[in-house]
This record gives sequence, C-alpha cells and structure tokens, in this order.
Amino acid sequence: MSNLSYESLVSENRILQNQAAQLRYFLSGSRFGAQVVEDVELGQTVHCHRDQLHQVAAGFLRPVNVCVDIGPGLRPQRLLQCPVHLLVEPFAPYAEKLVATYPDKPILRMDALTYLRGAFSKSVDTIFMCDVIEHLKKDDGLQMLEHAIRVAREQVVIFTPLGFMPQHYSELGDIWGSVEHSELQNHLSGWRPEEFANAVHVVSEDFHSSPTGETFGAFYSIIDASKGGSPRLVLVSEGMQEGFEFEPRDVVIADVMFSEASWKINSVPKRNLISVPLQLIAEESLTPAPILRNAILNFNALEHYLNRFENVVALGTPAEVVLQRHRNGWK
Amino acid sequence: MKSSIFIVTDVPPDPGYTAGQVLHTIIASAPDIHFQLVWINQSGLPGHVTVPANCSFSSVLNLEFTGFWMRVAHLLARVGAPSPWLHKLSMIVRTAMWLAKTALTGVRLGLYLRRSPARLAWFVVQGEKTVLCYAVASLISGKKLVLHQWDPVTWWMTHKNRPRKLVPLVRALLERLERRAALNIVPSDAWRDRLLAEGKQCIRLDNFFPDPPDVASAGQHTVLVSEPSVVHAVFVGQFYSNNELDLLLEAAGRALGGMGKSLLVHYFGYGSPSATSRYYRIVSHGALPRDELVKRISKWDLALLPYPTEDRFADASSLSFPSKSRLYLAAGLPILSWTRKGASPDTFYRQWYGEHYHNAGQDEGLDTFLEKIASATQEQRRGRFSAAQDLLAKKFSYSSEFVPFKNFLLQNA
Repeated sequence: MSNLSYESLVSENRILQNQAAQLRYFLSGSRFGAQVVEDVELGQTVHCHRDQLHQVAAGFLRPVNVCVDIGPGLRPQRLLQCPVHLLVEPFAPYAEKLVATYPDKPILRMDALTYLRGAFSKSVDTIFMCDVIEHLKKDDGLQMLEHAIRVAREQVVIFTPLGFMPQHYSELGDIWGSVEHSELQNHLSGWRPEEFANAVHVVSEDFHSSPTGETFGAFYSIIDASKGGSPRLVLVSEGMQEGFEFEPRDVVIADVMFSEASWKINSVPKRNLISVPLQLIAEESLTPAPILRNAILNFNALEHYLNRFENVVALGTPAEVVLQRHRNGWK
Repeated sequence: MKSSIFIVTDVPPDPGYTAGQVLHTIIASAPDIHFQLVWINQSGLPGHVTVPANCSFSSVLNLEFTGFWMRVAHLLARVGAPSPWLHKLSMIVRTAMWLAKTALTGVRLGLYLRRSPARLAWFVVQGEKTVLCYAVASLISGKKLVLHQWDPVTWWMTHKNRPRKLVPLVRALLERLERRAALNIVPSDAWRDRLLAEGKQCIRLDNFFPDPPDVASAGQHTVLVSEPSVVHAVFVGQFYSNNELDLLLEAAGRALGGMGKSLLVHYFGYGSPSATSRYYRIVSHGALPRDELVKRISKWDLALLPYPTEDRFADASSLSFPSKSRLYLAAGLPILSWTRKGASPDTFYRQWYGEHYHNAGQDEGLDTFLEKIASATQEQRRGRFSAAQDLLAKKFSYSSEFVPFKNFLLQNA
C-alpha cells in the first residue's frame, strides 16, 4: 500500500471517528432529555437529584441559533442544540483536541475575558460557562460575568460547584484521557446561586463526590440576559467616589448645591436628572415627612423614585442619610 | 365472560369532575369487571362524558320535571307568589309532585335493574333526591346493594332552597338503605367506624393512589423550588367565600409578613379568585388532572386546607373527608388547616401526619410551624415527602384501600 493511500485511509478514518463522536454528542446532548419544571420564575431555585440536574437545567433554556461555549474543555455543552456553536478555549491541548473532535464547530484559542471584552454588545444569543467561573479569581469571574451579560441577547448559562470545591491540577490524574493539565485547571473561587441576579437556579446538593468521600453540590444559574438589568437610582450629594462611573440608564437625583462633579453629570442624559435639596433634607432630620412634602422642591418626586427603584446608590453623607430616612419610613 | 355490575350515579365516572375522578379510578382499576352505568343526571350536566373502557352507558334518567310538568311547576310557583298562604300551598303541591316524580323514577330504575342479570347494584348517593329514588329502586330491584356516600345527606340539605323539613324522612330512608346494603362505602375512618358500630357493613374508599414503588427513596427524585423571601402555598378546589379560607390566608400571610416573607398562593380549580390582600397574592393555574396536579404542586412549600367550622356543618365536617388533602399528601406537602377540633381531617392528620400538620383555627404556634417550613432544608423536605408517601401507602393506596373493595366485587358480582 502506498503512503498516499495509507494517509488517505487514516484521514478518512479520522473523519468517520469525528462523525461518530458528533452522532454520540447529538444523541446524548440534544434537548430530548429536557425535563420541564413549570411555574418557575427568576429568583427562584429548583432543587433536584444529581441524575436530573442537566435535564432540569435544559428545560429552562430558550432555543437559540448562536451560542458561545466559554472554556468547554474537551466536552462542549450538551444542553442546547445550536446551529452555530462557537467554542472559546484558552488551553492549547484542549483546543487542539476540540479541533479534531468537532470539525464542524468554529474554535477560538483565546481566554474568555479577552474574547468577551472584544465582543459586541448583544451579538450572540446564549453564552455557556460550564465549569469555568470557579477557575477564575472572584473579581475576574464577576468581570467576565458582567461582559457575558452584555454580550448575550437571550441567556447566560453558568454551571459551577456549589461553594468552593478544592481542585489542583496535579491531583487530576488522567480523568480526561491523555491530555496534560495545567494550573488553569485549579479552582480559585467558590460561588453560590444567590450571587447571580436575574436568574433561575438549578441545584443538586450532592453532585460531585471526591475520592475522600466528601460531597459537593453543583448548580446551574440561567441568567436572563434579555432584560439587561434594572436601571439604577443614584443619589449624589457630595464628591464622587473614585472610580465611580455613571451608566447610560442611571436615573440621577443630585443635590441642588452639588457642582463639583457637574462635568460627570453632564455625561448622563438630562431627562434622567432631577435636582433635590438632599443636604437640606438630611439636616431637617426632626421635621416630619408631611411638612417636608409641602416645603421642599421635588420631595414628592424623590419619594416616588425611592419607592420604585430596587437598586439605589447613595454618594455622599447627606445622600446616605436621606436614603436611610426613606428606608425607615421618614421617622 | 366478564361479571357485570350496575352503577347508578348522579356524577358520571369522568375524570373531568371531582367526584367523577374517584369513580373513574375505581372502575378503571377493576378491568376484569364490566360496569353498566345508569346516569341519574339531576344536575343537567352535558352529555359528552368520558368513561373507562370497562364501563358502558346503560340508561339515563332524570329527576327534574320536563315538558308539561315543568310548566305546571312554574305556574304553581307564580300562583303562590302573591300571598304567604298561597305560597305555602304551592310549596306543598310542588313537594308532593317532586316526591311522586322521584318515587316513580325509583320504580322505573328498580324494574330496570330487576330485569337485568347482574347481581349487584352500586348506588352513589348525592343529595336527598337520590336517597328517595334509591330507596324505592332497591326495594323493587331485589339486587345486592352497595351504597356509596361522600358527604352526609344533611350536608346537601343544609344548602339554600333545599327541603329541610324532609330531613327526618330522608335520614330514615338512608338508615334503611345503609342497613340493607351488603357494603357501605364512605370516605373517612370516623364515618366507617360509626357505621360499623351500628352493625352495618362498611369500608373506607375514596380517591386512592397506585402503590408507591419505593417509599424509602420516594423523595429523591422530587424536584423542589425555593425562594428566599416567599413561601409558596397551594390551594386546590373551589375558591369559595367562606370564612375559613379567608381566615387561614390572612393568618398565614400575617405570620409570614412578621418574618419578612410573603405568601404566594397557587390556586388550582375552576374558579377565578379575585381576592386581593396585602398579606398574600394569588396566582390562578386552572384545573388539572390528578396526577399532573400532584406533580405540579409537589415542588412548593405548603398546602392549605380550610374546612367548615360552622355548627350547621358539624355533621359533614366530622364524617366527610376532603379529597384534596390526599392530593396534598401525595405531593408530600405539609398541611395548614383551619377547621374545628374533631373534624375528620383534623383527627386523621393529627394522628398520622402530626409533625407536618397544623390547625391554625385551633392551635397556637402558627409562627413556629411556618418558620419550620420556611427554613426547611431540601433534605428535610425530601424526608417529609417520603413520610407522606409512607402514609399514602398505608392508608390511601391501591393495596390498602381498593383491594378490599375489589375482592368484595369479585365475590359478589
């Protein structure tokens, strides 16, 4: 047999193997196994047996066309079948293996933050981060999450151990075949469902069991990225904190005497800006609310906004005092 | 050849109706017996009903006036309107007409049953009209009799526009029927014990469930939902305006409010509750088939069970048993009730499910009970589910509840 025909046979065999892998992947990973749990809303947690975890989580996913799988390792996500399934894998040996196993999927060898920072807002449907976020430090994880929510149109799917589960790459052995490991496989942070807002959580308390007999839970948080979070109410009475940035959707209530940061307030649309004498209200701490209502400019508007917004930030002592008085019912 | 039994009922064995669901389950669970249905359609239900494969329509009878006699009854009502004296006279005549019509239907039914080769007739009692009709029919038919009751006949006769003066007569007829019956079927232990003490043959049978496959691991695959600031409660049935439900909702909502939590009530039934309160919110889900309903509600925290507390319903609350509480049990939910002490569900759940049961109408410690529910771990919730399944297996399962009746049918059909 000539070298040429031998190579062509090897190549054909590889293609067939890949096709078989694809077939297995679709058969075991398609949505047919999804278990739908009805009546669940954002903010609620679903608790289920470890055998059901993936199926229950799959039941909450909206069908989409374009998904990005951040840090898939050797196993891309199997919860959702997407016509366009982009894999972003920073670790070279894994990325190479992915190229060989999934020839129909676009694969980027890149770290997640670099990819997400460069991606356009609302440019993909779904971002999967399965067994990824616990490999980052907390701050990096939060930053990645923020970008993922910005980039995703529909949902961000996170799968991670429940709390901190220790893992060092030197102890992994050959659980993923002959592929070498690196420090990227170390766990650096632990997460809880309540850290992910705007999400439905699916939890199994005993998903992982370590060789020492210790058990660790795992959970999915399926974040609704379509809502883009609720706008924020910012009360400003004095100087700005260092590093504070206004967001385009912020509603700002500024003290009338406040001028130091006017250049910053100029960056906020004027229709979202109201002037209220916050310092005066803070100083009149013994004056009952009905008198303040009649005597102070825009006091009713201030109350209205404070009642409506869940996310309120107070910058400066008078602003903090006003917020505290409101929360105490102006007593 | 299959043995054959007549079932005479007002509610068709159609799972679309609450009582029909029970009959449907019982009939479908005895596939080796053929049931011939005589439908006494006294409520004027629509004719399109779904019955099990081993059940067929045999006859449809009506206890209401139709045609000429209906016009006569309307005319008499109009004639009686102007004066109290005429009204009384009109009532007497109409009652006599009604008694005659019911008795004649009973004769017709009795003759019909007498002519058939079946040896057993199963009468399902729903209200005073069926009692009178069955009393006559049972005398004429000469068949062995099974008498099935859900609620005491006084429950039906306490309602508006019912002939309360006939209560002694109906009670006497019912007493005779119960004594004649080869078997009485009732929904509660209390009622069964009373009939047994009176020397009547009786078993307890209602909306039973299939035998749970493995009680010990029953809770493991139950999907549960939790929300930090909300307790999700379930209410199944008719969202009626009696005080008990309002009081229960308000007490629970108020207690949870004190803990910084809110109460969200998931309502399953045909009504559309419009109650608004600052103590609770209601989400209406509509009515669902039994098994789907059990699966749907098992993920939440609490089940609500209001039950009549007024003196006029004392008889009914002591003897009847709320079928919905079996659904709650099948779903593994803790039960919060509002009822009088000694009511049959109160006695039963105190005895068998005491750790997960609280009667807010009688007992102190609602706050503690709700606190326990709100702070329960998933393991504790699964443990409770297993405990409920265990009780279901012991008391309300195919083996424990239906098998004795099936054996009776096979011996007597």
